[in-house]
Amino acid sequence: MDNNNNNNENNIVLSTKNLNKTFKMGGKIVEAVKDINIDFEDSTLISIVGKSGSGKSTLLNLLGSLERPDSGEIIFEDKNIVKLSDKKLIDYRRKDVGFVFQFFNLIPNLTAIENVTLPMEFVKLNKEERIKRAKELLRKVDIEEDRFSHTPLKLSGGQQQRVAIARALANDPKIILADEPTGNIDSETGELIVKLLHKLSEEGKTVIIVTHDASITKLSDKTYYIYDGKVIKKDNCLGKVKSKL
Amino acid sequence: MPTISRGIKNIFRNKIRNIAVILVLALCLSLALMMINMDFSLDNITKSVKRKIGTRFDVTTNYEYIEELAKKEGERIYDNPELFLIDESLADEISKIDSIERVSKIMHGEFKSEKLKSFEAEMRQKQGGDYVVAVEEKVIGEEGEEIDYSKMFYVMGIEDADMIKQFQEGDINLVEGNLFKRTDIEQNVALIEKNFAERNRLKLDSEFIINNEKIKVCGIYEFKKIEQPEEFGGYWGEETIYIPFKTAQRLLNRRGREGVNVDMKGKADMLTVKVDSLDNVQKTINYINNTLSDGRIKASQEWTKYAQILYSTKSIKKISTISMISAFAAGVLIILSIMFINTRQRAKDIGILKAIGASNINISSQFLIESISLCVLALILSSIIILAVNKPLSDFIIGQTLGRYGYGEMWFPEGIETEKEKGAGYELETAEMSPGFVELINLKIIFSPQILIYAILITFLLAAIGSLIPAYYISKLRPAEVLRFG
Repeated sequence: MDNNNNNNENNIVLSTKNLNKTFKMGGKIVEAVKDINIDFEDSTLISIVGKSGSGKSTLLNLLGSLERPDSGEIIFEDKNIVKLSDKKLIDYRRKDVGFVFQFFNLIPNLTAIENVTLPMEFVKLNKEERIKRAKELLRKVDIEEDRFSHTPLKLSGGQQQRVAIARALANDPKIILADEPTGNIDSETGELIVKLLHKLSEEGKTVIIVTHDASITKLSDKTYYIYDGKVIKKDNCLGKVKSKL
Repeated sequence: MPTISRGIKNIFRNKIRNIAVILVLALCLSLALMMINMDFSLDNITKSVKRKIGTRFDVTTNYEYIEELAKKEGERIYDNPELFLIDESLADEISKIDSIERVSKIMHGEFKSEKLKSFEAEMRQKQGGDYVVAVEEKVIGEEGEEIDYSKMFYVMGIEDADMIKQFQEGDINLVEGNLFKRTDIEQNVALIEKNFAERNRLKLDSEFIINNEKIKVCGIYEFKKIEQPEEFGGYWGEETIYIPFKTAQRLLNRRGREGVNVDMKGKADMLTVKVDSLDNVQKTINYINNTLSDGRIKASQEWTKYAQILYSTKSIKKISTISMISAFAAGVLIILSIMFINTRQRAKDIGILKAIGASNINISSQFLIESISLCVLALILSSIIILAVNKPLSDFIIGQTLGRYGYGEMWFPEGIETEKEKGAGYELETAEMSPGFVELINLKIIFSPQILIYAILITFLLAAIGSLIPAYYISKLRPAEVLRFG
């Protein structure tokens, strides 16, 4: 539906067309994503809101190529990433998208700076540049210098999530995919994280946040509500969906 | 480089478990490497024994035939020395066989001398009358008199020194003078042993008497020393006097029935035959036994003498091969198990790495480095273990194996309280042993560069096997599944 309403096609970074994904669970086939058509525009913060099991995380995984859809298209820079080889998909994850997870998912035995430099290793950036850029990014997400060499266990939840955001930005991707980024931190820190993500969208990133926390939508440029794997646009269906969430 | 450092760092994620793994792996590696090395050493012994057996074989009296004859005709036949001699004409017939390179005649015997001093006489002088070399019983001569072995000297009449086993095998080295040739065949010359020469103040061109004839020293040789305990003189050495074959025929007459001397002319005790190739050895032996022999003489390779050592070597090799395979298999199981546990525990890390753009190869190489690091640390530790355990372990295996086949009992002199209880008792009496046996009991497991290559290969093979499970798991893992939950 969104594809039809798009007024400014030049700004679209990522779009889905008739996207479907099913899973087998206990012998039953579950339709996690049903016929989803969304255009994600450049420099915007987009929220995808839905309750647990609604298919929002599956959608995010499909956008980040962590899963392959059963049918449909995901268009990124005129390329249907669904058709790309595994090797090209790895390239897509390396350079074009950055992930932020609910449980931070930092490598526990690496320091904050090592976690941030990690994605840069895969694009063969040299050591000096990796460290220089990682430091810049950590400063950007407000991590104090004395925390750079701390392992995740020595950092607070908020600090860990900021390190995770810095890691997502490591290879300067166009898209940031955040799965419940405030789900495991207190509301005050959560607000700061959302502000940080909003700031990134203002700086030119397309930030797609999946959440069940409707309050995040305050800062979102667009919000999509997802229910039973289907998307209903915010503007048209907000009240109706809210009652079901 | 970051992959290497991350792989190494991962070892420290579970220190105690990994230390235990390294220890057990080190034990497996040590055992596997020690067994490989033992295999090499045993291979060398086998090769050396086979090389020594070579293309040479002997034609001697067939004692089985004589025994059968004695059963039929009575023990009297043993009084006839001619029954034990070989006609020289047989040597000529054997020489006509196409595959024959050379036939060399040998005659041996003893002579008594009151003037010469034997090794045994010297030992008796040093240690009193108690010294006895391996002979426990009194030896009674043909006329009922007790033979005093301290006055007896062993002589061997030979045609070609280079056809004599001891010369071929390097047990004898000429230190002065010359070996005699076929042209010296009737001359009164002798090759004598260095200690015998010193004891009797004999030098080159000195003369001594054998059965009333003057013999001139034409060469002095040194016999390979075999260490012995002090009570046995500290070493054991052969002091055979080598003289030309025809001279031996003349000097070493034997007494036959009713004390009549047997004319040794045209006779030999033994023939040594050399054929042109290893392939022709058995064929020629069969031809001589089946066509030229009437049953009284028998051609045979020294194989029988070496068979025991080759059999023992094979038994030890079997043990070492089984131990090596078991140790390697245990190592494989350990590294596979630990890497399986590590991979399962780090499923989330793998998911994260995949999500941030790591390829399967990127992640697998990290696990490979981890596996290599564990194996290399185990290898370093195993070198220390090998240094400490190698000698006692190889001694134990060799000792147990030789002991099992009765060699300990076989070679051990009675009345000596020594290593007998240890199983083999192989450290002492070596006088009766074949050269291969001496090499086997003195087997020194020295680690060669070849073993270093094997050690590195095994370590990396273990590491590679250890990283198979992670590689498979990584290729199958769907990051979305493991990243969903904390």
